[in-house]
Amino acid sequence: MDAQAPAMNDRWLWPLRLALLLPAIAVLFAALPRFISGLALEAAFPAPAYMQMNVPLPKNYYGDAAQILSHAPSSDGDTQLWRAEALLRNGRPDEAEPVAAAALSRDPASARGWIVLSETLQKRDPQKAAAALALSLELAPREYFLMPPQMQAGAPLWRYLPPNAQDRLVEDARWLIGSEQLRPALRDLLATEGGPALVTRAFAGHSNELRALNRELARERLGLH
Amino acid sequence: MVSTLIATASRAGNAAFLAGAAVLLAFSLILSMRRARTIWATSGAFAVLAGLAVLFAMNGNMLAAHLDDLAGGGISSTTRLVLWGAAMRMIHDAPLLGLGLGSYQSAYPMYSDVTMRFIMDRVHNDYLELAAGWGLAAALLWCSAIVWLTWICARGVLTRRRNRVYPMLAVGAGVLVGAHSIFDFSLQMPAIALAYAAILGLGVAQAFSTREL
Repeated sequence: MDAQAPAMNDRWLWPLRLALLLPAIAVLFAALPRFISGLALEAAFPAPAYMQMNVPLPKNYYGDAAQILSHAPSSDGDTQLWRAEALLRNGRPDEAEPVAAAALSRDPASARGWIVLSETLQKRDPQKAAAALALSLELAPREYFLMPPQMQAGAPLWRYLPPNAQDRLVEDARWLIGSEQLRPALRDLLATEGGPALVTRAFAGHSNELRALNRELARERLGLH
Repeated sequence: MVSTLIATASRAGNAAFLAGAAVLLAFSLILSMRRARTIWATSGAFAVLAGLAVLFAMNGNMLAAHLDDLAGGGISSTTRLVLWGAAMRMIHDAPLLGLGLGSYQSAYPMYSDVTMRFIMDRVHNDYLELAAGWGLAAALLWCSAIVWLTWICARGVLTRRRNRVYPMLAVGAGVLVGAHSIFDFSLQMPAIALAYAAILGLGVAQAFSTREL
């Protein structure tokens, strides 16, 4: 009996070794799509990082980034939202809309994704666009890098927005005006449809401050700073 | 590792390195004293302390400046406390199942109470991030598994005669990454996670004598 024991052990040794490998193989297969997404994001650099920080790039960069990110797995909502935003910034909102909608079904907590969807729908269906933006404001009420795009998307949709979203935008606009670091975003907002009206609402009851801001922006335009 | 510590003067990195080095030193002293090699043990301890003194002489000023920044900025206003506060609120909301591992960046805006000019993608505390992502029970199980394996290694250092350097290395590495994970997310870096897993595996494999297997 003793002589047979090592033979029994040998018989089970390899199946046992393979069984121990199974969790590692399972993890490897689960991680593969994410790895491919990572490679696509790396290749699309710097577009995703710049979009995240609201730093504008030449239009062709967005086209190239969208093309590269189209190779990322569709199951990765996060990466597909960068692709949708790249398509949008490349001036292709009609192509961006289905990509954003599908990606949001995978990654519904992405406040930035709802802004992208809102922007793609702005002209065609402003009510849906306003609903998407209201959701973004609810998900990320005071996020530094989301406030500027939220305000730019929200200004033209003002009359379609629910009252709590309107209040949020006015409060964010006040914060934006007070922030030196976000001054470029304020200029972009003022160049947006409905942007000056939003800034005026933020200054309600503070006409002297509004005049001071106007003077400051005029000086900037004239290069007197 | 030492050159990285000098270059970055990272507070958490230095503290974690010191913790890991202290554990290795303690084990070395215990083992040397068992063999009645007190002179060697004392010499070794002095050599390590001298090495640490050189390290701090090289990056001490930068490190002191970092610590001054921490004190000057007020501990309540530091970014890490903001991140940890948001993570605690996430744990409070979903203590059993968590919000999903890797969801911190998406969930952060819903739980933040301060606007900061950073992209908040990590908690800078792996324990809180695990608990916020997985829930308390799963996070506790995961951490317990690592502690258990480290305990096996520590026992191996004290009971084995051959190859005890491998489990000792695993314990030192465990203390280092464990301490660093309180302030950062080093185990979320694939290179570090892989290196640590390999060291821990090596340590556990050598923590038993052939007779015990």
